[in-house]
Amino acid sequence: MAVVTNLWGDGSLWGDGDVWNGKNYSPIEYVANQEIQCHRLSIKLTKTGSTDFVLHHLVARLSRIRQAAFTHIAYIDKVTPSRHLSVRLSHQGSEFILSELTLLASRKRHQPRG
Amino acid sequence: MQNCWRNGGVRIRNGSSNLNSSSYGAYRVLGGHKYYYGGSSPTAKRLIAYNTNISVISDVPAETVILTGLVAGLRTYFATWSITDSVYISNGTDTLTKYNGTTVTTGIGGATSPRARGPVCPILDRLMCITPDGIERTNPRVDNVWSVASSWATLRPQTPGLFMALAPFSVRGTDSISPGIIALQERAYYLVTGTNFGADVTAATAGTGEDGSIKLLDATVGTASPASVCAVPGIGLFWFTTDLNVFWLKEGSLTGMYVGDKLQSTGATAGIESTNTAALAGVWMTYFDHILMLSIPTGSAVYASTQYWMDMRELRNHPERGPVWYGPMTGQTVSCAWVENQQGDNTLRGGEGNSATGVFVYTLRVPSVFTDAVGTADNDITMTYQTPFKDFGVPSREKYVQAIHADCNGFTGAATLDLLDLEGTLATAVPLETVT
Repeated sequence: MAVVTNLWGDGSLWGDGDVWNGKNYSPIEYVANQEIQCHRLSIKLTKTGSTDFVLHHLVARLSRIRQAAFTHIAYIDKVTPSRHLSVRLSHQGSEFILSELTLLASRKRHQPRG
Repeated sequence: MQNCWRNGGVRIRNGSSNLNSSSYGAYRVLGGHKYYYGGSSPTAKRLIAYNTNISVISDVPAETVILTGLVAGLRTYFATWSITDSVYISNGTDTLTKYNGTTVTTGIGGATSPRARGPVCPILDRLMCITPDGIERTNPRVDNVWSVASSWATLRPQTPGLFMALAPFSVRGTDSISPGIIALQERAYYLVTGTNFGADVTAATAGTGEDGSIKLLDATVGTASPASVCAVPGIGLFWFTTDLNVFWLKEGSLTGMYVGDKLQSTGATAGIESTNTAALAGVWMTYFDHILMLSIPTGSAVYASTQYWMDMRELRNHPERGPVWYGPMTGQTVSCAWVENQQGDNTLRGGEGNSATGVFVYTLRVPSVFTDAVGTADNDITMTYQTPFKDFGVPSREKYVQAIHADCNGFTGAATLDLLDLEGTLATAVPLETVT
């Protein structure tokens, strides 16, 4: 038969279950310690077991003083004075998803008109 | 959102338990139904079909085989008709069969008994069913006189192909409600409606006042999955289409829309585009406790093994945001599911689809159970939840992550994290530890 999770406050006192932080209580904070550098971060949480699990909140703790300048390999640093700019992006051979394309122009280097 | 859903947080889904602790044979369950009957002395029996048999499975559980000799391995449909207080059993090949709780009668309708495809469907004072000739009907309030390829009583489709399924459906006018049936072909659906379906359906011509009609509603979308046609209270009718999507016909409306686009995968995890198109009859949908469950067979499997759940609370309360799906839900091999919710019942049941596992009846979405019953095994459920990729408001800078904090409840197993950047995985299986 299936394992029935019935540990939420089933002791002699109200809330006195084997699993103290049960469904009816405030969540407990857990931490995954991992120091790492990233540009865009996704977190994949995996849990295996025969008991309930509820994730209420997930937040990454960043170090503000250890951020580095953008070093992404696809970063394009072109000095191209232009009044009208178009971007043509090509790709072949594998799956490619373009979710955002943003122009970061330096206003300090622009040329006056005329 | 694999094996988890949102309900006051991201929550691991509930699992299943088996009703019978030993198999009834090395077959798969081909259909199931809870037959409620008895009028003022209400009673009920749980019916399942497997191999060549129809059986009653009690809550004990104990099996009583009530019919043998059916053509083996056919998907079987059950429908209870309140007028005769009987359940009708059809598989498209054998003659229509009836069970009144005591006696099984095969060949309902005599020598020309319909070999009904999909479940029979009541409308007003009669029953309708699908045959290769079209949609046949009975005389008023009886089940033993059927139209047979009639020039007027048999309703025929406007576009090529056989009908696949019938489902009760009411059409709402400004000040009226018209009883109807939605009839589906593989790529079309129709409305069957009327107030008088004829006094004698075997007559050469329709009698005075007969006004039964069939009207084409859409000639491009239908279903090949009779078990996927599912009504959701207050929302409407849903079905799985032959172009591998989910279609929604709003309650009372005659205009529908696709709601399964989000299940088309754009990544590595397969979506509904991986449905086994050779086994579309194995697709099922059912509604239970605010969730519309879609289950599909993938690869070469003939039974459904991957589920997607649509949150009906979101569709009802925030229709402008579009459908909210959770999934894939993996780990169960359930070939059919049915709701038992009369006479004090409130349970979702399912039948095992893998003949190698054997004939088992399961209770699905059991509260406080987080294992999946597969035969006699209870397998732990593994949930995986992945966030979108975040740039933390500074896309042009490389961030330094020190830790990930999570607020969780009921955490007794081992949860781990993977950290991913767009270019790949940065760290795997980082343990979640209690903050001390």
